[in-house]
Amino acid sequence: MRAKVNFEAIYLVFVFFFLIWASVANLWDHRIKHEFPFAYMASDTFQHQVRADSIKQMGNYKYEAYYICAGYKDCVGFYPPLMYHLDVILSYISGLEIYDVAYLLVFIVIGFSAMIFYLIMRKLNKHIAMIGLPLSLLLFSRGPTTGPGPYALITWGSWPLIFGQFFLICFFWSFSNFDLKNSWIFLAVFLSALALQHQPELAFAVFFVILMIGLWLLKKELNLSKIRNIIIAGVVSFITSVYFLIIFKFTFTKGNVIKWFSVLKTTTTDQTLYLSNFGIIILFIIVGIVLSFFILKKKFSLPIFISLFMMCVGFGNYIGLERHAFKTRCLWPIYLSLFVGISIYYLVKSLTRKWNIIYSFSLAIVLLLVFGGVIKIPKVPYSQRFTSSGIMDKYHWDAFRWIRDNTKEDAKVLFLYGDIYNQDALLRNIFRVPHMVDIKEYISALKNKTIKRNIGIDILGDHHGVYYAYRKSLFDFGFHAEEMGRDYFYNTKRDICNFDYIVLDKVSRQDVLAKYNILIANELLKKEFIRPVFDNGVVMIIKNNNPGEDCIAEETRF
Amino acid sequence: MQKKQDSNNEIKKEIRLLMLILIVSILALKILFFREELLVITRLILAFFWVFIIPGYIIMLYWKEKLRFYERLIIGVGLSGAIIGISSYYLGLLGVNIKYHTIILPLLYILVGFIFVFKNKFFQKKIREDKNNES
Repeated sequence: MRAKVNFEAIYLVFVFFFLIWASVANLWDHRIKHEFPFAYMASDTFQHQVRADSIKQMGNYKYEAYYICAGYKDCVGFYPPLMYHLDVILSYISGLEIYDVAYLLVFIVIGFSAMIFYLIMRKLNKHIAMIGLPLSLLLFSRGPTTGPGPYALITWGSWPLIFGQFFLICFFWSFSNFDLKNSWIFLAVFLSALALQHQPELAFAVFFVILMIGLWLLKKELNLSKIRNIIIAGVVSFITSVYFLIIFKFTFTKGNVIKWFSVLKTTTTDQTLYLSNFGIIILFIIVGIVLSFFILKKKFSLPIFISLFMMCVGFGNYIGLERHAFKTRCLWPIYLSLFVGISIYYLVKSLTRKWNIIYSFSLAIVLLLVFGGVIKIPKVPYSQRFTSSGIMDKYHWDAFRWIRDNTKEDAKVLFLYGDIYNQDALLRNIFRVPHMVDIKEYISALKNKTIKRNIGIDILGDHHGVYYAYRKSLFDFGFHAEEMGRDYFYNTKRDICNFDYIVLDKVSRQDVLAKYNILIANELLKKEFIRPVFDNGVVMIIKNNNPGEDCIAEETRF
Repeated sequence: MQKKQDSNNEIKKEIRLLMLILIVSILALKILFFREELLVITRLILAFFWVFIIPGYIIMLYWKEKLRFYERLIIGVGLSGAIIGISSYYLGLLGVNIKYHTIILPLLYILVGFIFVFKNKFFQKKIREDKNNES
């Protein structure tokens, strides 16, 4: 018996590190520490990194950092905070930069999500769980060709959702251990964590509880102990999360409304996964689902119910859940792994008289190699192993760090065109309020062979549908973005002579824009009070020592 | 007495297993991230153990009789992450700088875990004594 348990434990340790190998170890070029945010593929990744960095800097998350909030210092910390706090704590102790720790933790959490779901599947059958677990590798698969897939969920920065799914799986685990003494503790802790991490998953959890109560009522299994557990867990989680849920109610829900019963069949913008993306594995999933109904007919099985439930949530795009449903599908490699396990287990079992754990282990290893892309089989998806430095590079990062370390807090910083600057959350890494020229207007001026002193300049920040919310009282919030109007931030011509620093790229994939940047810089540098303060060949920063003074003609033709 | 001895032996065995997992984790990460310095990896793993593994493991000892070691270990990671993350948010709002949470919170929950386990044992012993007295 002891040997068996150890065998299973070794398998779990092996799978966990296999998941790390198939994903982050390759993506990060087998390095943990990097000189700049490495493999950050989209603006959202920087959004989370900067927010965690700002919490580290401020010491708490009462307020949003002013450079995230267009310069306002009273914006309430509106984003679900749990993940950021863990990032900061781990960053302090490990000595690693936030940008490394925050990203790494996402992969670790994914690994543990798979492990915890294994524990849930194990309640049905240990061998099914072992065989099903390798499907989790498809979390790092390409997914649809028409848009981003599961791996992009990670590399594009849907990190709060991944943490939310992790706590949702923990919540499911606590439900599968409902008979434990004081099991309400798990329910309360994980419901609270969901409330402070990602609310769509909280809604799924609450809906799941309602379904379970209905099911218990039908089966006449709803007893006092269950009611007591749920009530205590509900009350405790409400107390521990009410402060943040008030903020959530008055900020996030304002700009993010669910259009119930609207149908959205496909997406090209949200990360998702379609059943067809499983290739021929879909056959195993379908057979697994059919067999599951036979199992359910005999005896209720919570693991099957959970898998079916999360599969249905993934189809929520047909009832208005839109991106929440599409993104949930990215986690199907975990949730549907049970069906793959069931079908393969019963298929092989029908060929053999007595099952041995070696069979499960051997099948699992083969599946790991297949889904890990070591053995490639046509029509079978596999995890994408690649290395990429992502959007950021050392040149830009050094320039951002220079601004962070050498300028006053209220310095006005303007970015001219840069290839990477359209992913604007990365600009917050200067820890100053970023301003950026309106690119359309900028290109139009270039086409007209002019340099304009007054040009459309955006004040950037994360209004994220919450309109730079600030708190007036416990239940009363104001919104800077509404008070000032959208035009103030995005459609206003501003004088480039009013900025303390101007950041420009000297190198670009569009050479003509880089040359235009340099032309403007040279024109500005004709004034003695404007001097270059940083130049690494790729990025140049010039300082205006007399902001507000005439630094350039109203319109210069070239 | 024998039962207590067995329980202590089991915990000792589990601590040895934890140490083994710690070493295996360091070695595994060193292989996977072979371009990284061993010191960086060791510190990262120790940090992860301090925040996610140890508090969760100790709290989960309360359910030792019902759950296997590795099940407690794995779910303990979720439990630690949840309670430390939530507490850190509120402690920050109360004015305690997050840099102090790195020590305070894991330590607090390790302590809570021990109290939890001790109380559980104390009550179980009391119930056993009461039953003995009744009989």
